[in-house]
Amino acid sequence: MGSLRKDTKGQWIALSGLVISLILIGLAVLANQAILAGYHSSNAALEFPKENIRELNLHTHDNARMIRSMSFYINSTTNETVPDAFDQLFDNYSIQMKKLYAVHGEVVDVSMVSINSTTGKYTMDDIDMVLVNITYDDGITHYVAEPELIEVNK
Amino acid sequence: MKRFFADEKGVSLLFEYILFSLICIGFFMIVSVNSDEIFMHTPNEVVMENEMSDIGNMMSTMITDMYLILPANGRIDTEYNLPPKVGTETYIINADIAYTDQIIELVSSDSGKKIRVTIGGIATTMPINGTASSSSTNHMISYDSRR
Repeated sequence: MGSLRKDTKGQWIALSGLVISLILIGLAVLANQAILAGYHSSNAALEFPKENIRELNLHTHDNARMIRSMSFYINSTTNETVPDAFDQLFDNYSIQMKKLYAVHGEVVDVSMVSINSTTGKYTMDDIDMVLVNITYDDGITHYVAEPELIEVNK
Repeated sequence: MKRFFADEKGVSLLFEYILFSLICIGFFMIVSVNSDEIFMHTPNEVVMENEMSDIGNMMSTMITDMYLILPANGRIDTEYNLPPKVGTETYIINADIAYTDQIIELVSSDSGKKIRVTIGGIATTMPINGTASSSSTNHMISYDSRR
């Protein structure tokens, strides 16, 4: 042990060890700052349910068009009126959407307001617009469209 | 040169002691006078710069995202969380100048440090205004088509 203490060779190795350790400390500090940067902005982009709301909206638009042609078909084969058939089909759609979104912990409500007919008759060409209330709530974001105007004769 | 390294004479032990003490005292004085600046202020400044621009970008992202899905008739509001302090200071998010400058401003209440973040030209089609303080408990962005 005594000879180890008296041996003063290898000063440069000891010194370079010190320099390298200081560089490592500096890098560790910089790396820690880089981890913190951008947390909130990326979190906002991920957490905000933009796609969910857009999907709900697009889905409702698509389904309103589909329900329109289905209710005309029902009207032609049974003696149910077009608005009645429309209401029933839309209620079914609403119940399904509620269940689908409830699985993700989101509360949605899609309900019919009125069917717009330019002439007052409910033939294929007359129904041009459907008014629908859409609500979405995931506890943080509340979205209400009342009414959402859906052009169905496109 | 060889003689310079081989020469082992130096100052006397007493003088070396005095020299060393003076250097140490001087170093200690400089460090203690500037310690707040070195160990608190500079790191705080760096952290604030990063965090405030991060939070500004968060606001900008949320507002642009909301703008994309706004209902034609209806309303949308969303709550968000803010860290109560960046570094050691509270701050205020100011969107009142967004109408003219397309900018959201974060102002630190203690040192008055300002960070500005753009909001991508939305304010030309839609007025954005409001302020939010980091120390309040609830924060919300709202839109209503009827207002």
